[in-house]
Amino acid sequence: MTQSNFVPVRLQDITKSYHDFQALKGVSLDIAAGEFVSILGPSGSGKTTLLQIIGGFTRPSAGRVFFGDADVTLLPPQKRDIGVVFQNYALFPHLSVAENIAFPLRARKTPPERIQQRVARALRSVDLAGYGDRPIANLSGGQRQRVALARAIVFEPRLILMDEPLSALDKNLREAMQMELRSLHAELGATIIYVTHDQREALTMSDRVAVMKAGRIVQIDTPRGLYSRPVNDFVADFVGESTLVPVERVGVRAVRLGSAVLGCPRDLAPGQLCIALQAETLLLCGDEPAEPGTNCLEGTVGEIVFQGESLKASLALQGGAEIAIRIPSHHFNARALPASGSQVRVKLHVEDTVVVPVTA
Amino acid sequence: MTSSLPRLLLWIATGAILAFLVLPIGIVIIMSFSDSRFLTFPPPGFSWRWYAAYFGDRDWMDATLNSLLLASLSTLICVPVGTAAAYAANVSASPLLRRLQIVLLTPVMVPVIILAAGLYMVYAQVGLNATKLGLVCAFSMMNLPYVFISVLAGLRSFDMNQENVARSLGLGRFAAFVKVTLPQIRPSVATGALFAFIGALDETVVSIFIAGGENQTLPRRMFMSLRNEIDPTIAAISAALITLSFALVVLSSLRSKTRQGA
Repeated sequence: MTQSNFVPVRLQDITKSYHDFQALKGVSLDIAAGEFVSILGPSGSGKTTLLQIIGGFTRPSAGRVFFGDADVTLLPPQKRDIGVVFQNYALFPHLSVAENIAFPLRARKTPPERIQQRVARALRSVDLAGYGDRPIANLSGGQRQRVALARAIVFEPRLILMDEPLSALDKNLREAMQMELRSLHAELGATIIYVTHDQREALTMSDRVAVMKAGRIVQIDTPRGLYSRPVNDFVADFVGESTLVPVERVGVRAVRLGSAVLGCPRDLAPGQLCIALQAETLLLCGDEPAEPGTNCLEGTVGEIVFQGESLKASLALQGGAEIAIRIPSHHFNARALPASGSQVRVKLHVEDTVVVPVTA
Repeated sequence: MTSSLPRLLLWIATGAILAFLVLPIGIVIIMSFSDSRFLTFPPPGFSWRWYAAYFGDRDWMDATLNSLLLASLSTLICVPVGTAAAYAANVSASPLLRRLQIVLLTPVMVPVIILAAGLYMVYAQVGLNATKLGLVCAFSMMNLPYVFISVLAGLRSFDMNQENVARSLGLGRFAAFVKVTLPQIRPSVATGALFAFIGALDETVVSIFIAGGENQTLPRRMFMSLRNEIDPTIAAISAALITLSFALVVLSSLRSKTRQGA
């Protein structure tokens, strides 16, 4: 694949209504050629409808879809040249592995000897060389996943769409496949739009992540940006493992939580505020005076739960809010482990102090 | 052995039901080999004479061939129409279309005698009584629900994403249906077709009203002949029909079994 067919994708103010229900309320999105963008959202947020519209399976009620400069809004799926991988793979059970992968080539009337070459190459690229003659029913979940992937890339599509393709796999396989998808993405230079409800998966794989809620894109940013600069409490809650606690504004870059005053890295948004406390960013510390750039909180340790590589302790702050801290479970930490019921101090870097406006 | 009594009762009930289903058929088949001039049971002796009487008689043969032709033609109409209707009912989100499904099922809900009388009156107006066209239309209408229900059941367990994928891979909607969906719902389509065919072959009540003259059907001729003379030819014909239907059902179930094995 010397010359890439992959195109930028632009969504312009897409709306979709079903009877009196608005599934999408004006979604605009610009995706560069070769970019890996995830659409992240809880179920019912409209992410699958959006994918259906990009794929051409559903027409938007209003708005336009562009592939490069071409308006494809009304183009049927077979004319869009998109590789699609669905959650359940949607392999054709009445065809063999090779026939499944040859399917898009046959549909394009590729000469048989070219088909054979390209199927063999696609099988190699997903590490399934020699599996061509197998029936689909004899493959494991991970192998099916690879066949679906091979079928989606073999015809050199303009775009690859994936709808929760890893959700049916077990955890270890899923993490391995995430890495494989990333390297495949880099290798092909593919434009990939990836729909998922798993925030970790989205953060792991994407160049950018679009977070959706109730038919709208709430925020689109790099994984790091999304994690450290969420635009509101919804994003902060959905991305990362955090506890939201209401805080009081006491300055342009300062808030009060209980008796503690915390500095913030950026000017605060207007309106009601809350702080997103992530268990991983809170570190136990002693009674020494705080260094500059550090915020401190005090609380009482509650239950401590062993979770394998780490311990999770709940911490009741002054003022009543309950948050969680995470302590790596290696033995260097064992000595410093606070007892349940003891009073502790934790520190939090100013850059990790995420204060977001509360949406209604 | 606390379970032995309920078990015994279950066996007896099952045996009784099976006997009730199979015995009448057995009796008809035995009587078809009778050498008596009358429909008596048990038959006094064995002979093939009533089969000879059936296969040697031109009127019987005409009616048989006509029935086979009508059943084939009406199946050819039922299957594509019923499949298309089931497809639409399966994919459409329109509430209107969902309600229209009921209309498709009316032929099995309305008493046949009413259907027959209605057809007769409508056909009398447009001159379709005792025509092949009229009979094929009537049979197609009556057997459409069987194809519809059978194919719809097949489609319900089919993953429509497969068709979406086939479309994204470069096939038009109809081609995607033919290459991906149809091969997988083929058993349901075949079952629907089988029921439509046998239904049309057996149809009596509507035939009595709207068939006739050159366009006689076999069941109608049998009914007429039962009224006039009672001889074991009827038993021979019945046995032949039963054999045909049975063979079709066995063939189709064998086919689906080899398919699963592959």
